[in-house]
Amino acid sequence: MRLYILRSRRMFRRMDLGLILWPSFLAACGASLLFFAAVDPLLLREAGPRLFAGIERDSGYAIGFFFFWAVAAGASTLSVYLMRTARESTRLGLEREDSQ
Amino acid sequence: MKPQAVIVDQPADQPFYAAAQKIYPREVNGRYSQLRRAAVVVLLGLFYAVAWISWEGHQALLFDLPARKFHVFGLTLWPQDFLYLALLLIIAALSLFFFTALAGRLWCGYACPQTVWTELFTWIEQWTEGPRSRRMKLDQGPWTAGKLVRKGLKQFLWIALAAYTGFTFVGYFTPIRALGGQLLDRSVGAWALFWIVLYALATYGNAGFLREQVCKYMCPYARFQSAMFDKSTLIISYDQARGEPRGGRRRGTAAAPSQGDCIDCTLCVQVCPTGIDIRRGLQYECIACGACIDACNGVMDRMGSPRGLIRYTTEQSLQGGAARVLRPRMLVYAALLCAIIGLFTYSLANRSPVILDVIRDRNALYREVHGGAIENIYSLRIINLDSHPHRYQLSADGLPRLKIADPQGPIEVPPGTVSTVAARLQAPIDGVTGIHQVTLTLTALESPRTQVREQTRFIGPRS
Ligand code: SF4
Ligand code: SF4
Repeated sequence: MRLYILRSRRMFRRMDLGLILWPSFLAACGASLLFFAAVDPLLLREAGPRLFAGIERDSGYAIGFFFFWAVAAGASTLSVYLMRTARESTRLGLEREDSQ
Repeated sequence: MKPQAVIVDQPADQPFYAAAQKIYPREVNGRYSQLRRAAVVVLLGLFYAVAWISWEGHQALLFDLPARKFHVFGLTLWPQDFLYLALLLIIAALSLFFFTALAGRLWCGYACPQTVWTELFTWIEQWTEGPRSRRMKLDQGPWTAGKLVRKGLKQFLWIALAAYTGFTFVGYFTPIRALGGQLLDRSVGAWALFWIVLYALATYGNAGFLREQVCKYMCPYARFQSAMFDKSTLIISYDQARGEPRGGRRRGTAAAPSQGDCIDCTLCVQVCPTGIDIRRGLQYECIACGACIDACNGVMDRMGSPRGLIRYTTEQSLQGGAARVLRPRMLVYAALLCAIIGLFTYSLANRSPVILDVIRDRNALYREVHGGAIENIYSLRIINLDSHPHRYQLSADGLPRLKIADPQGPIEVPPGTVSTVAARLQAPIDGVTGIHQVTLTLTALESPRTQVREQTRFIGPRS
């Protein structure tokens, strides 16, 4: 029995960009909807750190959306990376068995 | 046996997926294409037109994010009404499940924005570049002046349409008339412009460029819809028993006994927007658009054979059984759907148009005022959720001789705004030792049925 394993020279492939950005975009849409239904961006101006002092509603929504997108994309990236390296580890394990 | 690993090195420059072949869907006419054309006209017509309808002085359908309120015709919803939005989303999801179990990918074939806009972009493509064969030749041919004109015209129309779509989309979130005016005199805000461009790019990319790849690689629904399928779900299927073995024959002659009805003209493949061959069986790429049915019916008509070699059917009836509509799955979906729609309508019908929050003054528990009375101070948050201004009268009960020292007159609150007013309650000192529950009532003077009651505490000196 043979187990074929695809080894990539690159850590991330171009296709991964879609796998990372697209689901995190959907997640960011959902998160923004929930968050901004409860929180008025203007509230951040008063209650948040000084950084948010100049925030308006429109920029608040946009910053929030991109923030959620970035966080979700971070999680997606980690997932892709872990799946990739899991395959690599399988390969190493099997190589070790082979050399015995 | 232990698996033996064989490592295959992937060349660094080789893409993970085979590059997608461009699909040139062939134009088709028939019952289902007419249905889809009607759906496109109605849905896109609604999308582009409803944004411009006014209702009682405001845009009829406006999710006014800058003002944080939603107008849905006569109804005005505020962030406090988030429940309705959540219920509406659940209803939408459940309906999708219900219709998928009943009739497969109806949504994909006729109503999904991806399908609808792709269809519109394809019309433009057919109008500027001609039918399928001409489009293929045009793409292979050299860059002549004619090709430049056709391609240029197509791109121009696509970009214009995409830009207008982006504008309309943003026009549902910020008043469209004002937005249009700002675009014309170039005073539009940077963020509004940013979202318009982003949505225009998405439209152009999805409907002009990605097309079926959205359904194949990006759409979550396309992946999980099969979970709602069972043997009685309507699918589009090729009748293997009747069609095979396929092969050519002369027009008007019946198939030889050894031969099936399929003449292998491949029209069903050429019209397919996702580029699959339905004769290979149900595939997840199939968006159930019915184009192959129309194409094949046309061929069968010309051949003088009965229609329906490719048709809407169910796995059950293909195997000779009878399809059942009333299945446990359907009943469960239907029951859930009815329950949530009921809940939604009930809560919307009984929605109180005013909200009252009572917060006790944090500085003092109570104080004594002249005339031997104890006074408690509250801060009232009154939210008028109606679309009209209201004057509210405050009253209090729960203690003998409890009276309102302030405010005695009505409190005026404009529509959709939160008013914070200080209220002072007084009660004679004898008999108010300890903590008492009291009820504050707010009644709209214009419509006494609009009323809220809120409990709070009235604190007196310790005995
Ligand atoms: S597969 Fe997804 S994107 Fe494509 S038509 Fe169906 S729902 Fe729309
Ligand atoms: S196989 Fe037929 S129904 Fe399915 S996507 Fe292609 S043309 Fe449409």
